[in-house]
Amino acid sequence: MEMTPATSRGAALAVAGSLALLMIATILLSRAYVHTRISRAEALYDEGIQLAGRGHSAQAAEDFRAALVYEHNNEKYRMALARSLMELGRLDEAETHLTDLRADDPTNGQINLMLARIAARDHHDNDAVTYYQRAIYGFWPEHATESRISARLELTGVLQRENKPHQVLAQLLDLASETPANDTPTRRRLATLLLANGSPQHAAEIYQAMLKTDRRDAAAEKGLGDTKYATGDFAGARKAYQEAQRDGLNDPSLDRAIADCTRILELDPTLVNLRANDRFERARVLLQLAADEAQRCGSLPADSQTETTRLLQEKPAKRQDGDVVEMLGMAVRFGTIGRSCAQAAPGAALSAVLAKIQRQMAAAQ
Amino acid sequence: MTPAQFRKHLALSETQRFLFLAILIGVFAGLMVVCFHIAIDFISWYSLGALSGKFRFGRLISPTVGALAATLLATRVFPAARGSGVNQTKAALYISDGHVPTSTIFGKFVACSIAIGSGNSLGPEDPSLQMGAGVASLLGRLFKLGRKNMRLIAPVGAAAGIAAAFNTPITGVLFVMEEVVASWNAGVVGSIVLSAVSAVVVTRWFLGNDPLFLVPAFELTHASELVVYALMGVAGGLLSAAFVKLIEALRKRLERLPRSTELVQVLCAGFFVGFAGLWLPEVMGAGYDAIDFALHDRFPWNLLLILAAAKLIVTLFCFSTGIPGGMFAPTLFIGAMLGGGLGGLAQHYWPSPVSPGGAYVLVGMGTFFSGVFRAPMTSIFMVFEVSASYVIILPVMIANTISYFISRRLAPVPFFTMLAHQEGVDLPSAEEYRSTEVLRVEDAMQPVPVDADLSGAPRIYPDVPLDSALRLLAHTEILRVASRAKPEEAIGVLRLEDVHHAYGIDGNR
Repeated sequence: MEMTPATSRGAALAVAGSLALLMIATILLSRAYVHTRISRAEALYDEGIQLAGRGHSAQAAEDFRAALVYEHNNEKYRMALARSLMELGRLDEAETHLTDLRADDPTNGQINLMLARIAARDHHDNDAVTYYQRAIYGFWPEHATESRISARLELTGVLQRENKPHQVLAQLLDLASETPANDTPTRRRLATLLLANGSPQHAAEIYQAMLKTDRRDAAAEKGLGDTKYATGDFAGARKAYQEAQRDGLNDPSLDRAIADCTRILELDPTLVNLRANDRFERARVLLQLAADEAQRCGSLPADSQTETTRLLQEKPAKRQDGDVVEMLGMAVRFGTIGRSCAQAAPGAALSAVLAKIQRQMAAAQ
Repeated sequence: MTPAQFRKHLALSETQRFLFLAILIGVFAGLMVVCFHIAIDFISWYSLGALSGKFRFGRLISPTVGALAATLLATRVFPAARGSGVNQTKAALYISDGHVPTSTIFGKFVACSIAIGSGNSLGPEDPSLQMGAGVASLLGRLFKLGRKNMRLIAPVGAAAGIAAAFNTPITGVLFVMEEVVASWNAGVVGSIVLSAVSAVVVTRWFLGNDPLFLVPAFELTHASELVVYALMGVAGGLLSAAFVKLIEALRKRLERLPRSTELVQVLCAGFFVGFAGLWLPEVMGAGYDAIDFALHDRFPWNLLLILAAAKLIVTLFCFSTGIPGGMFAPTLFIGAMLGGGLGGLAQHYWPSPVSPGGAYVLVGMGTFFSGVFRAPMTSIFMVFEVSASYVIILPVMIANTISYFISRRLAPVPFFTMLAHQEGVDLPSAEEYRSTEVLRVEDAMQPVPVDADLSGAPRIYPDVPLDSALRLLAHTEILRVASRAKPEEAIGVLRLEDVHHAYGIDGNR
């Protein structure tokens, strides 16, 4: 059927008019739709935040979920839902949301940190380490330093669980350089971790820096005492503990620590300025104590027993420096036996002295 | 060139006008579907959401009142808007020369948005398809298309409507080609693609680029998992056949009841949906949010199976009682939940590792769809288009094909054909059309007789359809059948009686 120009023009006008009307109607309708959708979603989100604040995570999660029905792609709602789900222990579901979020924003520190926590809780330690590292080097819109420090501290926990001491120490040293000087709680925690992970020197540096800022920081003094104790400077440790006590630190363990230090200083045959007789006597006492500990384990070899008896019954006239060294060597060996036996773990003082002697022997070799 | 000649030069031919119209139809259908989508959501927020928010039993009231209002509109005001929409579009193509009443567009829009928005278990896709067909028909009439093109215009609009509703152009095109047109006519494919693409562009412009579902990453965990997908195909096939049979039986039974009970039936169906919604709100409405949740493993496997069963029952009542709305969304819902449930079972009991539940939800959608609608290509590409994952193709093909063949075996009459029969209309079945064998010359030709003189006989090739040979045999007694490789050499002969034999007219073959 052929159209005349008039009908053609009429049809075109009718179509153009209808199209314009439909377009306007759709624009108006879609604006109202978007507005309603956003306001409903935002109201649900606000309600969810309030509920979450009051500890009602389950109801909050329902609100965030409903908000997401209105606004599928809203990262804020999805993040809030993931957080609530994590609080409810629904890690799989939380992970689904976080994985979706990460796909859109792979460098987001917060998302990576939450994924790392889920992986850590699921004991997927390799994934956890990767996510923590991404969180540390990721983008944080606010509180970046604090968040990165917190992520690194959590990462050290996972690395400790994985028994990777070198990596733990590396993370802690990075933390030491990143943590601001005025962030005392973090620096205190960091120093404790450094000490626990075999780096008392770095821990001591942190405590000394803290004491430079506040000379009467009793907790830092105690920490410094702990670092000195760990390095074998028992006199220094006792002094630091006493100062902490003087500055008002009410810690019942301090008395015990001071007593231990005093006992160590009485036992320690390696102290300078000791007379030969005193050194020999201390070595003998030390050997006796270590032998007793090893004996309690029931694992003292027969030849060692004979040799010990000989050394312990040595006449004072025949005392020689070589005997002192031999006695100390044997004491260290017995100490090792005692340490391996749970029933007869050597006392703190004895262990500390033996450890110091062992370190010095290793250094001498 | 005179102005008249210039105007004539610019004038569009019918084919060009048809292609231009296809784009225009896509734009109109896209805008219409956007409004339809918004209307459903608004009604849902202000009826279902507000009522449920105030008191729990609001869920009972909303679908009951919605079902009654929508059915009253569809029966009393817009009678042409009844039914799912697919058969009505096919009727426009095969019976009424592309004519779809304009009232259908408004009727479908209003009645279906009320029915679906108020929570009845029906979907917006089939109504969108029919609205698209209606828009296309209206524009075709306005531009005075010829009879041939007018017949083809309804499928063009249907493709635009369904593509916009699903936000998936390939699925829209394939469904219309597979189910409505049932042939790959080059002329119509171009127009259908144009309209579907323009409709999706408009929809995305207004509603955003998000796909229908946000599908998590998919991967095949272990080769033995394909057996689980095959079992899912078996389950999908059995359930889809049962679903089609149940709809057929229930519709027959309800039709026997007096017409005066029609509104009571609808009220009961709406109330039943609301009642189910008190405990399982996911089964209300189209259910896309629930599918999205299932895709992200947020339901345990046993709840997924309960949801599949509940949705199947409520959809059965909603559709069979005649509440206006479509079947696509409920079908996807049932398949998704069934797939997810079976996937969850496999995660517990299958000896080798299996994929997360979301993968099974996705494959399950296509499996049940394939079994109910018997559109295997559409079901495969729909899942592919929705998931954007190549890896999923293999499980989907296995599960959907098994489901298709089982459903075909157990329920030989396809869903839309069954509906058409019940409505007293005899429409060609796309499935039958695909299964029909086209006879060719090679099926009827006879060996060359020893003494035959074929010097004057016209030549024909063996792969030519027998219908074409019949036209030649009107002018000659015998045809010389020659191969394309050696056209001068006769490999057989064809006479009228051979053609009759092949068609079985004489009953001897």
